[in-house]
Amino acid sequence: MISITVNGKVHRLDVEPEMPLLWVIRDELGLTGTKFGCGISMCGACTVHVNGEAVRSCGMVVGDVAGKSVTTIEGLSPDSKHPVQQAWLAEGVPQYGYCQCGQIMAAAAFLKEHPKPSDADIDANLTNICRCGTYVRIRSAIHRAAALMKT
Amino acid sequence: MRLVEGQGRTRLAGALAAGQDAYKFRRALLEHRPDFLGVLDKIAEKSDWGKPLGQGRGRGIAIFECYDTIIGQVAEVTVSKKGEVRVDRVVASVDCGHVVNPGIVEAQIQSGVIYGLSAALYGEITIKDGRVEQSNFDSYQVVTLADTPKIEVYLALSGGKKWGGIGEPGTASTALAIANEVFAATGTRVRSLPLKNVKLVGPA
Ligand code: FES
Ligand code: FES
Repeated sequence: MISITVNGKVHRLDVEPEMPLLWVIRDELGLTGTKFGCGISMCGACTVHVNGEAVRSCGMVVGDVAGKSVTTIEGLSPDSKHPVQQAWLAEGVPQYGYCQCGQIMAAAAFLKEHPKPSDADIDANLTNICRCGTYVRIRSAIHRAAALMKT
Repeated sequence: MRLVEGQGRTRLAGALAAGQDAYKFRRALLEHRPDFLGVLDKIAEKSDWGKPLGQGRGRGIAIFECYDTIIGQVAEVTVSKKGEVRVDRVVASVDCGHVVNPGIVEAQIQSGVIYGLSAALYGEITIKDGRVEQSNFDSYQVVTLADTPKIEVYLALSGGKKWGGIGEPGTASTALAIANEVFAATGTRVRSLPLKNVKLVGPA
């Protein structure tokens, strides 16, 4: 039995410790906001927070998360009003949307480290792929979220 | 992928070889089409066409029509000493006749440019021993935030009965503008894509 906390709730799971965290989140816990994109830690569609830090859950095994606290897109904010979510809505960022939960989770963790980011900070730190090409609006939404967080 | 830019490519190459301005040459060719001219003049104005850029930098211009939409782009590029291409800014203008939601039109052009940029810079599927060699993002590079230029979108609507498409035009015109700007910056004509395979010499 492995015990992990996801979105504030403790789960005791009967799974192999080598099972990727992404599988646990989607298939064992049924939280399907987190997406499978590449499976090799390249795209970021599977980004979640572990103890507040952004990680790519396809490349992490559940055994390494035992006793830690995981946050998925479903748990980012109780009312979907996290500043990053508000900014995403205001800027109309998503297109097909497949990458977007990962983008939002990556941006939320990034803003904790860089409360007033420059375009260069954003470009250097956020490497999630968006095949629809929403990057221009991701940039403006991150600036908007940073401003919202200050107020 | 072969690059063909609408009609008059041979004349175009000849005109440029003779040192004619790429914008003015297109203007002369399109004199009978006020809708094309609206788009062309818009991108020339907004991109400061004709204002010199620094060394190793250049502007490329392209205009064409697809899905009943006319799209023009000016792209600004920097070619490094090592010959690497970076697109800094794209100025695009569209005539899709009418617009219902301007925000979506803008988003489609922004993202179309980015998708086209992936194709122009990196996109390549190769076959070896009967199998495709690329299988995932570790072997098939795509544009990320770090490659994303500033993209400006301007409408130049001609109205009338036309309702043009807006999904594909941004993608299809990007490679043309970039290839032309690489020529402007380096003097090298790009005849095949992706650009990662084209040997370029940057400024000394
Ligand atoms: S699915 Fe995890 S990084 Fe792509
Ligand atoms: S919105 Fe489609 S992949 Fe990002």
